Amino acid sequence: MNKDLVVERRSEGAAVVLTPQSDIDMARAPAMRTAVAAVIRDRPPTLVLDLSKVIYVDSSGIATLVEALQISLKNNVRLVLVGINPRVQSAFEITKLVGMFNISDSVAKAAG
Amino acid sequence: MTTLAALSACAPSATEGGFSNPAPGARIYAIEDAVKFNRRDQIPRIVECLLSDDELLRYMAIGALQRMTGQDLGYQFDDVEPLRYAAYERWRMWTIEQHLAPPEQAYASTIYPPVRERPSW
Amino acid sequence: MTPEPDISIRIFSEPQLLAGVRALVEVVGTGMGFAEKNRCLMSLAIDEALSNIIRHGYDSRRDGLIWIHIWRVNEPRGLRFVIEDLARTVDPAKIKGRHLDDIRPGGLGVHIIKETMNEAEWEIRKDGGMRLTMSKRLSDEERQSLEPNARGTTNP
Repeated sequence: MNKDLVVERRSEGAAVVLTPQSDIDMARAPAMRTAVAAVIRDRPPTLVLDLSKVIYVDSSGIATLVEALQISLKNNVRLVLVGINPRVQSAFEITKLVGMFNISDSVAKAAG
Repeated sequence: MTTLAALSACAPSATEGGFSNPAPGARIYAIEDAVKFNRRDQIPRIVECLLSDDELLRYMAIGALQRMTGQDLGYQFDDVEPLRYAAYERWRMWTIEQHLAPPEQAYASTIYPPVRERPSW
Repeated sequence: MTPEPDISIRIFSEPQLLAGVRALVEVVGTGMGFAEKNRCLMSLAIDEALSNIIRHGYDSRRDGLIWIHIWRVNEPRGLRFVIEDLARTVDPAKIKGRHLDDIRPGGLGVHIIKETMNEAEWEIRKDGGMRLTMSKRLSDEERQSLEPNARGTTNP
């Protein structure tokens, strides 16, 4: 039985915070995609992706984050990433995608 | 007052109507429900959403199909239209092969009218 | 004659199995003396190679077979990987990473493999399927950190 990714959703002021509860890899990326789409539909001013529980992303996971950025921009939603650990940072660096994203130190700062 | 109430009763709410509601937002809700309850019978309706002009709906639809089937058949929500249509056709064939849609009635414009002439089977 | 691999495993083409392979690569990498960052990138590259086979070679079918062989190499110290499958073949000349100036989600896997590994070569197997041979050597810093224990051991 496929273990799907659980993505918690909560509000922080006017922002929506999504917190994936495990890694974002090829098997789990689709769940991230549907969670992001469900938030973008409501067009909050800011979507915060809290990656503090994500230890590993592969290229599917990175692709999902890039897509989230693209769909957010097209729907006038500001996307911010928080909680990036060194492993995830390495994956961003090697794909030269670090500069694309807004990255913040904390959910509170990102939502504010 | 009575007229206003009657008028407001005519307009479907954003969450009602599911796939029959023309609003992309309503279809996104319908897709969410289908994924949540693993409604594989709704897969053909989700596949139809791959043709939508609404990018967010397409994005949601392909994400849902990946979760429910484990594949994307090469569909990318932001590809140019001819490539999206070609991938949509692959999905259409897949639903027929999986007996999720009957061949003769598959995609009889339940959601979208035909945008071009489709090959006859 | 190529010696037998130190480790050989066979998996089905199921994405859920990749976490186990990643863990194996990290443990073996630790034993060889790779620093954490390089271990992460190496397991990511292996994961990408396997993901590409599953997605593009086997069209996301879960009954495909993939073999992973690992050699520990003493000189120059590092790891050699060979990944074989019976999936759809591709002209190796056409396997290219995405140009990173083009900001699109897809095509990152090959780029990750080529950036991480010292060597990566794809070839079509004569019995069908593909073979990907990769190697990663310890960096100068990693070798130096092993110096007192380098000869004949696998402990950092």
